[in-house]
Amino acid sequence: MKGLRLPLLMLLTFVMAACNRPAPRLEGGVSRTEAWRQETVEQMASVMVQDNGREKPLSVLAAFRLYDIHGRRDLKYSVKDGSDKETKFMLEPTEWLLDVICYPDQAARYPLFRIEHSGVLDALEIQNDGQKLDFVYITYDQAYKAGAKLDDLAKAYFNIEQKLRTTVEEHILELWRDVHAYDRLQRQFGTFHFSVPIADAKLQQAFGTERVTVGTIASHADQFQGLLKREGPEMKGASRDLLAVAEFVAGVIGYDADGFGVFAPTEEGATEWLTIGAAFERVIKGQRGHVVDALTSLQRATSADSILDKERALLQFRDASIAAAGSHYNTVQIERETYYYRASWHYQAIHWFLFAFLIGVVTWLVPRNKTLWWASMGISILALGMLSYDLTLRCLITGHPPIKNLYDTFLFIAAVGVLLLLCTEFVMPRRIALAAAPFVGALLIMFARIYEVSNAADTMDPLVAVLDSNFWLATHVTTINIGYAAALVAAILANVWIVMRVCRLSHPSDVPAKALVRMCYGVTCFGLVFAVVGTILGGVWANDSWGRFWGWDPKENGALMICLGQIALLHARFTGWVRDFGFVVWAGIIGMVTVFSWFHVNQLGIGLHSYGFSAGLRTAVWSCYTVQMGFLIVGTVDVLLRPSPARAAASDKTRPPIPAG
Amino acid sequence: MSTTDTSVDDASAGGSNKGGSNASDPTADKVAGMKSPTEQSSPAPAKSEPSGVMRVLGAFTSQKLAVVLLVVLGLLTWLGTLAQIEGGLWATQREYFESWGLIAELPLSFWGNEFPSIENQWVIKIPLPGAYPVMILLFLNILIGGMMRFKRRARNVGVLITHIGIALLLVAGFVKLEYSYSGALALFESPENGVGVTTRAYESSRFVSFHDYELALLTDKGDTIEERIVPEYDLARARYEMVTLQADALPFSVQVHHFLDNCRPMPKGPMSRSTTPVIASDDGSPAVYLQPLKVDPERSNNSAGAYVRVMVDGEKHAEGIVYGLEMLPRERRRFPFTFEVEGQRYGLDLRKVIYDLPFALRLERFVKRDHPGTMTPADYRSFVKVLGDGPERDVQIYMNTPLRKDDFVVYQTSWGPQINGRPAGGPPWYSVFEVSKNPSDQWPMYACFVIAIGLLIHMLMKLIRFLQSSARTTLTA
Amino acid sequence: MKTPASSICLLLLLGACSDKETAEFGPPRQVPKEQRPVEWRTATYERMHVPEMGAQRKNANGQNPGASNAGGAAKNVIANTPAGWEELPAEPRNFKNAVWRIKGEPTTSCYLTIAVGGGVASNLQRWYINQFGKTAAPAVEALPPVEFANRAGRLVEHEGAFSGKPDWAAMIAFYNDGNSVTSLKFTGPKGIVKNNRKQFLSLAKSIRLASRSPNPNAPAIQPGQKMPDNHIPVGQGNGGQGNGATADQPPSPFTASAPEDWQAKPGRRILHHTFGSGSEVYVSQLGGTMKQSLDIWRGEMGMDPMTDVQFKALPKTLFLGDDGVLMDLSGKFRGMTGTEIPDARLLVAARVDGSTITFCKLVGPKTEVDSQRDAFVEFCGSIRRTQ
Repeated sequence: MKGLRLPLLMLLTFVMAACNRPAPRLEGGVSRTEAWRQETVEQMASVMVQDNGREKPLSVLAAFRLYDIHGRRDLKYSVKDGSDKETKFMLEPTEWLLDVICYPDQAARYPLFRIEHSGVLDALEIQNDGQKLDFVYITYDQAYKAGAKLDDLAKAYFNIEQKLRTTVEEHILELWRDVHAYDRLQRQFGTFHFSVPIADAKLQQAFGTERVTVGTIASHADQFQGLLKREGPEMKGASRDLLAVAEFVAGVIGYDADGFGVFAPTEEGATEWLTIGAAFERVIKGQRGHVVDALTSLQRATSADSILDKERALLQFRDASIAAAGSHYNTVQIERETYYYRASWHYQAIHWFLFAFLIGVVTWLVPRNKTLWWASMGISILALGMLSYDLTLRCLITGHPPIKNLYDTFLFIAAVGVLLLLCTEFVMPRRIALAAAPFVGALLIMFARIYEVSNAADTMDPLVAVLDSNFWLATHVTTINIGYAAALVAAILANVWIVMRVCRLSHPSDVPAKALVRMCYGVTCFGLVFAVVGTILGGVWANDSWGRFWGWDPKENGALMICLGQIALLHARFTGWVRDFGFVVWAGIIGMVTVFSWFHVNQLGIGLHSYGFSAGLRTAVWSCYTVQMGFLIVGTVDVLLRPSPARAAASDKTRPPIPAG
Repeated sequence: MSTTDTSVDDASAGGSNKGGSNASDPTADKVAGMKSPTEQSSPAPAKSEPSGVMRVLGAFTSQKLAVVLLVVLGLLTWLGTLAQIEGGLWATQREYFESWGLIAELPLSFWGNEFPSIENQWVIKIPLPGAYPVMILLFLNILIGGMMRFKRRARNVGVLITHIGIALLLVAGFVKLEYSYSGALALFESPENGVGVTTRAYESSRFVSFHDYELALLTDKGDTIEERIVPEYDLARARYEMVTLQADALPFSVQVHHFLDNCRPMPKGPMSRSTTPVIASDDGSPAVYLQPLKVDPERSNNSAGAYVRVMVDGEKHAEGIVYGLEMLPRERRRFPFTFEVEGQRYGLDLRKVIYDLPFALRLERFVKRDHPGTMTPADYRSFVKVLGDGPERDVQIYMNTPLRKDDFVVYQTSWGPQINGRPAGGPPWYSVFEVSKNPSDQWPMYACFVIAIGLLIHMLMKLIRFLQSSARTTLTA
Repeated sequence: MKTPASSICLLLLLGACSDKETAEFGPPRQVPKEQRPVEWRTATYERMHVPEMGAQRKNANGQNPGASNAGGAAKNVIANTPAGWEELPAEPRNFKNAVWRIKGEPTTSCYLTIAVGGGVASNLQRWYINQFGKTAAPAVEALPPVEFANRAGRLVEHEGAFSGKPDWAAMIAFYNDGNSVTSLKFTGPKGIVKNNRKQFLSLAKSIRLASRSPNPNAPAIQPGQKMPDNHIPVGQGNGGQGNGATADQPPSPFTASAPEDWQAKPGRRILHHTFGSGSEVYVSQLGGTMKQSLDIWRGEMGMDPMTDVQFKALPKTLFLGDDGVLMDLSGKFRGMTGTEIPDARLLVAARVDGSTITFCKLVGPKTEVDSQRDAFVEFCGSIRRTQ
């Protein structure tokens, strides 16, 4: 399971430790001797396909397929040449997909499926050297050889209740799904690698070749039709070769039936795109035009020998498929989306946030330096701008408000959190929020990227009917997530307070600590408004869609718990039950409640909101709880063990002792 | 509890002093200083004994009570969420949120794994009041402490408005719980040529409860049917003993026994044994008995049944089975157990509670659209004709857009025939609506506006005051 | 905190509800007849929605049980009536879900009883002690196994006086799901029953109950479906379009009951199933003559076209409700699309079907196919045209 690495990565977020693991070696011959030209890859990226109910660039499809199957953003391997020299290669998703299409033999030998448990290899009887490495990659060829075994095991484990499965069993099921996904992908263009030999002279003349392929049949569809007509409907006198070709045609038509859509529909009003098989069927039935060109150029791309010919044919395919799509090809949308992923503004923002954070840290050392303060602030604002632009692009591409799924919440909460902290810094320039803001921003965007790969589902896929309401997405979903953001920011400030106390950076009665509690209080108040309004708005929405205002659904409960916690905290503060330390602990607990509500409830497998399920998230959630609990426990122990210096150092004698919350 | 009505004043004072930012604010220190002895002194009697009424009032108005109640409610919500994993929503809702008290269970887990093991998981048991009494107390607390006895100052106006909104929200919840009812209405698409299957429901002016039953005594009066209803609640004892039902005007009484929450009728096979009585029939059917089935936590999946015995003058007159299977919209008719007494025909029908609507709905067309190439529904909606007193009206009912009419709200909830979300066997399709009558239907929305306004006023005022105050200068220096 | 606590206790006490032994009917209320469509005179079994005996509402989907069968009683038994036998109308109310007898022998009777309760032991007692006057019934495990309705059943064979009739014989095949027993019982004069023993066993084997047919509700992707293969399944593409959506496939023109360990494969092929590591079965249609079609498959196995003698000598098999031919080849399989199975076995059942040849083809590694040959023959026998 890819998700298992999540906590590790979280801890290592700021340790820029480059992983120097040697790339697995590609065994056997290398068919593709040169790299794909960058220009070809970029051009092919904007081929439009339909997958999961949405038209998207081929590059996006390739990326999410690679995340799904491989669990990484790129594919690395090395090749040993004649002189025993290792050369390393790294493939971008689109390059990898082009290999799957044009060099399936080579692609089948890529180290693709991640195995994290040697027990999986043992179960599949794949040779391995035990638990030496924490993971290895196996190739499709290896998986294919073990296919029968894998199939049997997966079938057996599938019937075991998920809770009762062992790690190895879960891993095998995961592998089975990945292999299955890869298999479906390579079938998509697999028919171009088949051919039927024909000995019949008449047929050879009609097709102009001795081996017919999808391409030859598509380009000779008329001749093929003629041959069939001549034999009559019963084909009593048909030659064996013709029958064989007919069989082949029928096989091709159904071969990729469960693949993604490559060709736009030609009928009026149709929305469902055609697979290659379905398009081929149309051609056989008499459709002509760009589809034929697209099929023949794909045939050339797969069967040509040199990579240059292949690239030329691929580009011809691109032009033909765009021409065939006609008005279905939305140039603006496709270019916007390819740009979105190529520019990847939120990824850029991470670097700037980290930079701003470093400067922010430096300002702690030189407190009086206004220039540095402005530098950090300016860079943070710049990065926030990038992030906002990223979110805006997402809205434009999907046509919906910023949050539609769990992935979006990361980016949105990052933006709100940064904004909130920067505002806090403006109100109270203590340089704590100044450094915290870019830190939070970078952290959350990194989580978003980890989640994107581990979840491996296109983050812009269309919404189910009940969510498809821009009004409610814009009101309820946005407000409640602002509430989440504020609660998390408060928890982070609370943790800073604890760290400062434990590390003796600031005494609780000092101004910085007081200011910190003050910020925490202000952010909580701000969050309360949005949490309460967002929660009630959610109820109002539910009242319009499910017929009840409140149904004690886990997600609703989570939101309610945040509200209750914050209201109780503010009242407890009014009554004097909690003071600074109590406030901080309570805010930390609300942070945990927020994590529970934000994504833990989706993992419970119950209720109406469990559409964000991802096994990897569970680990992330528990990591959050553990880290936060760690802060609270350390803080409490510190307060219990060392309350005296606090009192001794207190300059103001009238100040009462710090209550222990 | 030593805190008395003064706490209200203190609290509002504390609140107005920015929650006791004691670094710079002497009043806040004073407030906190006054409070600190109360922390460990709950059983100790107060020094100056106020009158009993004031004591009770003081307890209800105390902000500390509010804090306790909010925390308890939060705990209940959390445990009630976790309990749903095993117990299902329906049972959990009854146990945690609509009861007066319960023993909550917290199964321990760590990193998502049961602790210490699946077979032997540790469960912490916590006695808690149900959410129902907690919310009643909270309401009283807000009403008295947060509104009536609240210091009416200009700076408190936001808090006051917010409290009014929250109180309204709680009232709406109470009204919903006590005075609303809801059920399902399922209709087939009307046939285009007007010739339908007689048993199917194409048009209806009634809807049936999702899971509550009632036993109806039907008297055949020619053009009308006279109904006498016994709610499921009155039949509770029939689960383990005999319950006798009667009415003054009736020449007979009815005994109900072996009430089963989930069961199915079974023909008595040559060798089958049953734990429940077997009822022979005189119409050529084999003898039948009710086979008890495991009760599904999803309560609407169950079909109840019971045995009935009609007694005239203390003698058994007729005996039969009533079975509550609901088959709408395929079968609109009901099949009661029938008998005759003194020449009058009667029927006994165990059915999901029927509610009548002041208007009728007819389903003209149901349309479902998927995202292309997937099984994910992009939209599904019903084209409905509303038949009532006035002229016929065409409406569309779809996700997020219910029909509101005469205090009833009609929602699109489901459709069929389908198996696991895939269309099966259709068209014609049928559409399932939820109908609910809820007097407080729109109150939460109003409450939402009120609360939003109240909170905004309060928080903005506080922010502005803070920005102008000396505290900020102290803290930012 | 005392006061609120005590008030909670008080409220708790008030809240405790009380049950009643007697209750009053509510006040009478007049409702128009149209508002309460009531059927006053219905037979008990209809009133209870027990439409067909036995076809118990065992409902795999967890839906309201009524939903699955309220539309009426569909025929839920499929079987191949043996030659010389005839099928009679079912008498569900007498626990006879399907009835056969030997043509022209009114004293014989063979009927299927689906899922009656009571358990195995009491049924055995009835068959042995009550009906045949034996002193004791044997344990189930002691009875010989028999294939019955695609299940591992047991066989009871009796001779003697049956319910007063001398020289009578009975054969009963049965299996049980918990307490409910499904049985096929064949009784008649001793000689006739003995002569028809084989037919009875084949009937028992051929029976398929609708609820056990391939589950159409299986999730889209499920382990057990055939995984990697580089083989283009040759066959007729019967139109249709679309990517991925299995729901909008055209309805299959044929139905059949497949063995449990075969996996139905979604897609365009008709009755496409796979099993083992790479064996697959599907039904397709071809133009040309029967011999031409069969020769194509021979070609895939690297064999020359058949001689007429060979062609005429092909064994017959039940296919599409009638006689078809069965061709059974072993050798090296090389599909037209390049797939190779070194040690393969290919089975084809085919028959002329109007103007086309309909065939059912199984190809796979020999070791796998060997064990599935009988299942294949049975599968072909169960194929029916959907109407």
